[in-house]
This record gives sequence, structure tokens and C-alpha cells, in this order.
Amino acid sequence: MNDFTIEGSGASGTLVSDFNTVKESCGRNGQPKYLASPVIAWLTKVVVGYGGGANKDTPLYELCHLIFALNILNDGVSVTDRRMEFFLGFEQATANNYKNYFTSILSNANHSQKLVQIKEAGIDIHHEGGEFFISYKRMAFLSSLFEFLLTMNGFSHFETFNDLFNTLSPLGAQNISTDMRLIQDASNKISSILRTYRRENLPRAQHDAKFDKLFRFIQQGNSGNQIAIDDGMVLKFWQSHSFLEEYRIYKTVFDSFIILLKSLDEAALQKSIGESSHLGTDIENEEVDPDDQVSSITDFTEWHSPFTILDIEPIADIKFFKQKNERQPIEQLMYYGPYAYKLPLAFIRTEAFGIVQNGISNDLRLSKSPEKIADRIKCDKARNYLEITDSYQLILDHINQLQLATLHVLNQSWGSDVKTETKDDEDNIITLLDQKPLSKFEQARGFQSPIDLNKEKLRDTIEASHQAFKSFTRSGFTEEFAGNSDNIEAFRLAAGALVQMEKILNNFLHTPIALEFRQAINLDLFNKDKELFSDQFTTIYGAAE
Amino acid sequence: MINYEIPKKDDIDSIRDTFNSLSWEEILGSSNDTKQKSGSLSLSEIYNYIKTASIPDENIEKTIRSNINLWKFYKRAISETAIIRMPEAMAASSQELPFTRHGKDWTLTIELSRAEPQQVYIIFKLLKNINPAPSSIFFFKNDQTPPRWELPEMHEGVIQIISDRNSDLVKLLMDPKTEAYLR
Repeated sequence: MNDFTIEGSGASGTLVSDFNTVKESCGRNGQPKYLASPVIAWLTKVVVGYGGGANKDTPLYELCHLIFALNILNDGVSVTDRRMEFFLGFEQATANNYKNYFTSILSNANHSQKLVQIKEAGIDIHHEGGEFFISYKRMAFLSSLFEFLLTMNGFSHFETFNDLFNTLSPLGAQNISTDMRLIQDASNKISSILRTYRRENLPRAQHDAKFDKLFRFIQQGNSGNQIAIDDGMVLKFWQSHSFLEEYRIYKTVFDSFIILLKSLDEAALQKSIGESSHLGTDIENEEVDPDDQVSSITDFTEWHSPFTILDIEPIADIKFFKQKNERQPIEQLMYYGPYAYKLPLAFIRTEAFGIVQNGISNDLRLSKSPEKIADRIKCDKARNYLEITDSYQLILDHINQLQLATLHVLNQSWGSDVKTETKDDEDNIITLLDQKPLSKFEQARGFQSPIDLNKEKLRDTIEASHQAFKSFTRSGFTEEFAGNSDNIEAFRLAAGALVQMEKILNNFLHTPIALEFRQAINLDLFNKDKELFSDQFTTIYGAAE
Repeated sequence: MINYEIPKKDDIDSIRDTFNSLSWEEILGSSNDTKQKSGSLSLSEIYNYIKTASIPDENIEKTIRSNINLWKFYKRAISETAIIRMPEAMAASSQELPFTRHGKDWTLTIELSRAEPQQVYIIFKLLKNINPAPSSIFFFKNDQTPPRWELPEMHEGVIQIISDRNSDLVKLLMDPKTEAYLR
């Protein structure tokens, strides 16, 4: 979501091509094999050497365990064939597909059951080094990694990795080494190949220089033991550095600050977990003994736009948002999520003036007339901050209606209205237990425990949800559609995304700066910024007169 | 305003590393926006093509032939998953008809048609129960990949094809430098 082009940023065409090959992989039904979020988003992190939590090699270690488990299975199929079938054969990488695969194979391969055991959520792998658990959900992520490794450098590593993966089989009791050591060695070999690949394809000089400039700038503006980053700093940095090609675009500067904030947050988190090192138990060589619960620490909680959830089939069949008026105005806010309200004014400036600057860049690229460019530079067509936040408020209201409509679908799916418990009638309070619809909705919203609600209020809510559902005359909002079990599941999943959206919009609208200009209902701040941006555009692109 | 403790000198290197990784992550993530499609086939797509496509797709075959690494994968995937494998020299060693070749669990016979002397019967007989039946025959000759052929339905372990005696299919089957795989 930035203004870089891939080549312009120095990323090797090989890496981008390798990565896109996996990202764009589709089944015959035209649906992507791997979900953009969270699977491809996770793969991106692993590819750039940032996925794996405390140890960036953890995903490789998990993958080697999974391959070890597959190699153990013995039903007459060659290990290479089985790997291809498992990692490449499914048109969609879903937990259910992997679960069915293991269930089906292990029911026919009795002797393997001691070494690989099926559990409800995944498989337990038993080897001399102990036990290792991999969830079915995790297998979708590891499949994307497997496919990427074999795709690297235009598929040139296929034979190397295939031979390496073939070695991942139980060694037997007579062997001096251990299965654990075997898996660790394989992980380290893959890690070494991946490091070389990154070195060749992800040059770091450009980003190092960018970091140093930003960090020096921030340090200069601070004293004492703390550094403070605020909206004004983003603007000042842009004003003082926009003569440089890489900082000409305000939104690029904003993006760089967001990455810096994430880096500072992440560094603190990394430090608390521990330092990265090789997997193994050779302490003299600074190897670490990996925990068998590594999957739990490999995915930092991070933000992904809720729209990525709503875009997944079959949720995408439900028209929660109309593109132009309901989705597009909050697309960027949802993309940045919590980071948008960490720097709220800097963000709203991208919404108002980033679009103007994008228009100027396009005009220049298309050699439009100087008059037209000069007209844009005046920023007269920029949406003011009240308009922008008014549209957020309208969409927030729309989301509240969508939540009610979703509640109606979930309520209907449990078959009846909410029942009250007799013992609570006296104080007019009812307890919603797990199987009650509103409680289910609240669970989908992220609440873990049942809630107490006033009975009348609850009835009103249920009635309002029915009305809200009826008020929508768009795809997905018919009783017939909402009665289908797959579609109910789609509404249930969408409920979580809608709650995230509500939270982001609410938090943004309640930032001090947004409250200030919305309560005052004045455009002083916007008008001041308009003049400032217009002046800076004039400096960058030429006279506006 | 967001406040952070000033990082120590050693920590700055770690933050710089993270900044570098996140910058690349941003760029790879944004490749969606640039509409740059790789135009390349993924290994999953090729594997599923081998496994399920009943009709050869010339575009896919062409893409595979254009990349030696992809071609190696394609050949490996076919050879690993084939039901019948006919390595070089096993295909045929003479131009005389009829001839029969035996492999593990299969027999190949090519014989002249009595009714049409220019036609031959190509008969694959599978000696063990195979389910699902092979649906395609793939050939490899040196580093070339001739097109694959669709196979007719199998009846009681027998796949029978009527072909022109001078057809490419017959030529390839009778060429000792050709490897053939049924799957």
C-alpha cells in the first residue's frame, strides 16, 4: 500500500517473481490456494527473514518436522510422491484438507500410528528427541513455505531440497545420531540456503540509509532518556526531506514512520522473548534447544485489514460494503489499523493530501497541462477533515447495522428467541450461556465469557437485529441465503471482522485531535494544513500560479 | 505522541534489522497493488495439471518447456506418480510389428490392424487393479517434452488405442530414446 514500485525499491525481480508465483497459485475453481491473510502475509515475513518470532528459523524447523511425519507414513507411496501430493496436491490449503489426509492415511498404515498420532487439532510426532505437535491450521502456512522453497530462484532448488527432505526419516536405534539432530541439521541447511537467497535478492543498503536518516531526525528532536514521535514530526520530516526522491511523497514518509514505530515495538517484543540463534543443542556454538510449542510464539499478534477476511469466499458473496461509498473511504484506515490512530493527524493528512499528491504524480506522468497541475497544487479539491471523519461516522453507523443484521442471522441459526432463566427473573437480569445466540455473537466479537444483559434491552436488541436485517436489500441479506449453513458460518466469521472495524473507527474518531476539530466544527486546522501542503507541493513541483 | 526509551547502541542494530525486514515486507505486500502478475505457473498448478487435467493444455506445456527447472520438476512429478513407467530402451528396440514389452505389472503390445494395414492397435494391459485408471501418457526424449496424449477409458485392465502406424504416438513408443509414463 505504498508508492514504491518493486523495481524502484531494489527488490530483485527474481524474488518478486518467485514470491508472486506462490501468492498467485490458484485451484481450478480460480480461488487462491493460499489465503492472502494470514497465510501469504506470514510467508512474506518468513521470506524477508522476519517470521518465526524469537527464532527466524522456527518455521523451517516446523516444516522439517512435518516432512519427517510424512516420510514415516508407509502405504506404498514414494516419499517424494507423498510430499508432492500433500504440499502441492490440494487446490486450497485448508486445515480440513490436511486433517482428512492424515486421517485417511493413518487409518491404513497401522505401524505408523505410534510415531504419528492424530489429534483433534493436529498431529503429534514422536521421535527419539521427544514429541512435536503441528496443528492442521499450521500446515497451510508450512505448505506455502514448502512451495516457496521449491520455487526459489526460478525453481532451481527443487532437486536440492528434494534430496534433503528424503533424508528426514527415522534413523533407527542403532544409529549414533538422533532424529532430533537430523531435523535440526536439515533446518539449518535450509536456513543457510535461504540466507544466501536473501542476501542476493534483498539488498539492505537502501533501507539502512532510510532508517539512519529517520532515526537521526527523531533523536535530534528529543532530549533525555526518551524519544517521542508525533504527527508533527512526520510533517516536518517530509518538509525537510522532500527534495530527496525517496521522500518526495508524503504518504511514503508516513509509511516509513509507521514501519519505524513497528520496528521499535517489535524490537521491544523480540528482546523480551530472546535473541535469535541456530536451532540445536550445541550451546558452545550458540545453538538453542527449540521448544516443541514453538508455533505458539511464532505469530506475533499483528494487524491485518478486516477486509481481507470479508474478501474470502463465501463471505465475499455477502455484500457487506458497497465499494465506492462504504468501503473505499475506510480502506486505508483499515489497512493501517491501530497505527492510524497512533499518528491520527499524520494519517488524516494522507487521506486528504496524499490523494492530491497522487493526482499530481499521475498528471506529470501523463504530461498533463501545467494549468491542470497548478490547479491540483492549490489543494482546493482536497477532502477536508470534517468530510473525511463524517464519512467514517456514517460508515460506523452502517457497521453497527451490519452487526445487528449479523446477529439476526446467528440468532435465527440457533432456532429460537433467547430464553430467560427463571431464577434471574426477579432482578430482571438474564444470563446468556454459551449456547444462547447473543452470547455466541459476543464470542465471535472476541468476548470470552457470557454476558449479563437487561432482559428488555435484549429483546429490543433482537427485534432491532431483525429490523436491521430486513432493511438491507443487497446480496446475502435474504432469509433464504442466510438459512444455509455455509452462509451462517460466513456471517459468523464476518462478525469478528465487523467488530474490529467498529473498534478502529471508534478509536480513531475518539482521538483527541479528531474530537477537537469535530466538536468545534471548524476547518481551521484543515485550512492551515491546506496552505502548508500547497506551499510544499509548489516547492516540489513548481509554481502554482 | 508516542514515547519510547532511547535504545541502547546494540539495540539500534536490531531495530535497524527489523526496519529493513518490515520495509521489504511492505514492498512484497504491495506487489498486489502494482498489478504485477508473475505470469508464472506455480508448482501446485503444474502438479494439479498433471494429476487432473484430462486434456493437454498447450499453454501450460509451453511454459513448462520454456524453463529447464520447471521441466525437471514436471518430469520428476510424472515419473514419481506414474502408474506405468517405461524407461529408455524399454519403449521399443525395433520397428517390427507386432511387439510386446513387459514391465512390472504391465504389458504393452503394438500390433497391426487386420482391417486397416496403415493402422495399429496400441494395447496397455495392467496386471494389477489400478484405481483410478491412468488417463494420460507422457513422453520424454532427451531434454524435450513432446505433448502428452489423452488415453481412452480402461476396460477390465486394458487400455486400447487405434492409431495411424506413422503417427507421432507410435513413433515415440517405438523410439528407444523415449521414456514414457502413464498416469
